[in-house]
Amino acid sequence: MPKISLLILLVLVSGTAGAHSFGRMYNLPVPVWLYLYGAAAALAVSFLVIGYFVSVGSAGRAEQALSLDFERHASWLRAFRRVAQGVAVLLLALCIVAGFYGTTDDYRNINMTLFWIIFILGLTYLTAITTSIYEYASPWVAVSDLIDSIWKGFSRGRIEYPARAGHWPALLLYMLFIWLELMGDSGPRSLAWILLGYSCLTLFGVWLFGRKAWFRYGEFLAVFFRLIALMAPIRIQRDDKDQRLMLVLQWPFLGLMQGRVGSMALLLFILFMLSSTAFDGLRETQVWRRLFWIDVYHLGLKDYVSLNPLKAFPTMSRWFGYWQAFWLLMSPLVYLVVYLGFIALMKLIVRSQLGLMDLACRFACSLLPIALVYNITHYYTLIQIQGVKIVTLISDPFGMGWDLFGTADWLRLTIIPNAEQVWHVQVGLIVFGHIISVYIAHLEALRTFSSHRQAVISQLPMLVLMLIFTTVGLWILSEPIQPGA
Amino acid sequence: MNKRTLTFLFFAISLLVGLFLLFSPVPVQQDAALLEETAPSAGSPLEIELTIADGAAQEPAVHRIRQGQEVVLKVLLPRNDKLHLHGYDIHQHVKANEPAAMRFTAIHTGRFELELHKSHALLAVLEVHPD
Repeated sequence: MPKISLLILLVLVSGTAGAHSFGRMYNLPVPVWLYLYGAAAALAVSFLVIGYFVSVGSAGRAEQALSLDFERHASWLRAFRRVAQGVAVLLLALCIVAGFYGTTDDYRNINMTLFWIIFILGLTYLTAITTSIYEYASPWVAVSDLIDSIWKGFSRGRIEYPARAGHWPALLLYMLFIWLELMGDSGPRSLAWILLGYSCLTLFGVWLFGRKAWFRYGEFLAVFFRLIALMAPIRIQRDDKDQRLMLVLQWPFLGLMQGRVGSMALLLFILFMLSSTAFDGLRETQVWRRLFWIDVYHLGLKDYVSLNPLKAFPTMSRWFGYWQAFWLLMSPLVYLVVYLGFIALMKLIVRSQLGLMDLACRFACSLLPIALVYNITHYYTLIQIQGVKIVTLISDPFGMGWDLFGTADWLRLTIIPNAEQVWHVQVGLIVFGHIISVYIAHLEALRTFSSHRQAVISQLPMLVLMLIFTTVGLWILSEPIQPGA
Repeated sequence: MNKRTLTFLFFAISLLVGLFLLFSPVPVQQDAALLEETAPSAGSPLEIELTIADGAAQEPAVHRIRQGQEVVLKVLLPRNDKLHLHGYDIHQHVKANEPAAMRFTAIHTGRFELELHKSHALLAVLEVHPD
């Protein structure tokens, strides 16, 4: 028997599998010194933020927003919505049709790049720096409105949405989606099936519970983008008093102070935004692979599967799939336990009368900046490497050798991101997200607790919690990557 | 923004820059030592030998290379196959049991997979680290 370890077999078998649903990562692990710098910087600046709030005494005027009357432009906004929805529906249809009839090559079929990179990643980042674009450009809202204009009363709903269900459907769908993204059988065909299935499910939800309820509680992308949009500097909303349309300009991220997390499901949704990205990074590392294929195997699994690695491999592979899915789905609960622990500590030291869940919900939005920067640091290079190829793909969406717009030969070479630049952007962004989260949590504390002293000391446990999240994020970026991961 | 906020912002930025300068490594000596590791004599290309015997399982090794280094990948395969270095996008046909060499200069930094396209196997991972 040659000396073969299970880990080697895994590497050989999964050698060509992409790290994610698709897209090749060229990132090198962040060097140790930069990791240590990130952790030290996060710690030092956190105390500076505390110092700031100790001396300032109030939240100041930062939260105030500039509201402009937008009523005159209401027709412009309606026209924009119509165009955006039209484009969105066409692109959704293109993703489905290209998936069924185009090439099965991930890189030459437009649907993979258009959906996973342009829509899921690109729109997230664009939303965070501009405004809630998805609210105006959801293809599913457009389709259900279109059906409603033909079949009157379609989106009125047949039964009342059960209040107890809350955001649970959105959370479950989000988890299923991330599981499919990270571990499912990815490819243009299966993506087309997923999109078609999700479209049917969404329309069924609208038919059953009504448009308002389903897009609020069930359609997880609407929930996801609504949370991301809380960080955006621009908001368009109706005035509470006279219902006039207002354009609200605000400092980036301060819109988080308007966010209301009213349920456990939504809290878990936010924690899953954090934990799923962290998990995706973790599972590429050597530490993670070795944990199952070497440690768990030798700790006792070998007695059940087989002592011979070649015989054990098929069973182990299957179990590895369950193991990974299990930890992905458990990850928000792990984060929840840690989060609630620190919230309980906060409650204890300030002797707050508020309930644990109440406090947990109030501070939940302050975790969103960390979730956003985790996502950007982990995936932004995919936009640079594969996202830009949309220019090429638009001329040949089915990968059949067309050249519709004369751009089919553009950007042939892969634009490889420079390692040093990526490292600095990653560490810089993580530290930045951390600072913003600490700052938002402080503002929330000033609003929640009656005395200034209480507000400041309440933030010591929060600070430790955020340092943990930040350091974990940095640590994952700095870990060596398993070949073939 | 009031004066106090500006003062704190000034402190925060100075702190971040100061820590960065404190932590960033001094390049001179360390570099010379590393360079010796990968390139025994200056100017000569780094040779990496990759031999696959039929049926044997072998973990794809990770090779650390310094940016700018000239590299020669010497490959010996049991079957005809097509070698693909991702990122650099170099393709080369390799005949069974005939030694082949892929030459390139490691100008781009990052992780690059060396893949056998026909047998869909990962042969090695090249990590090109910044100079």
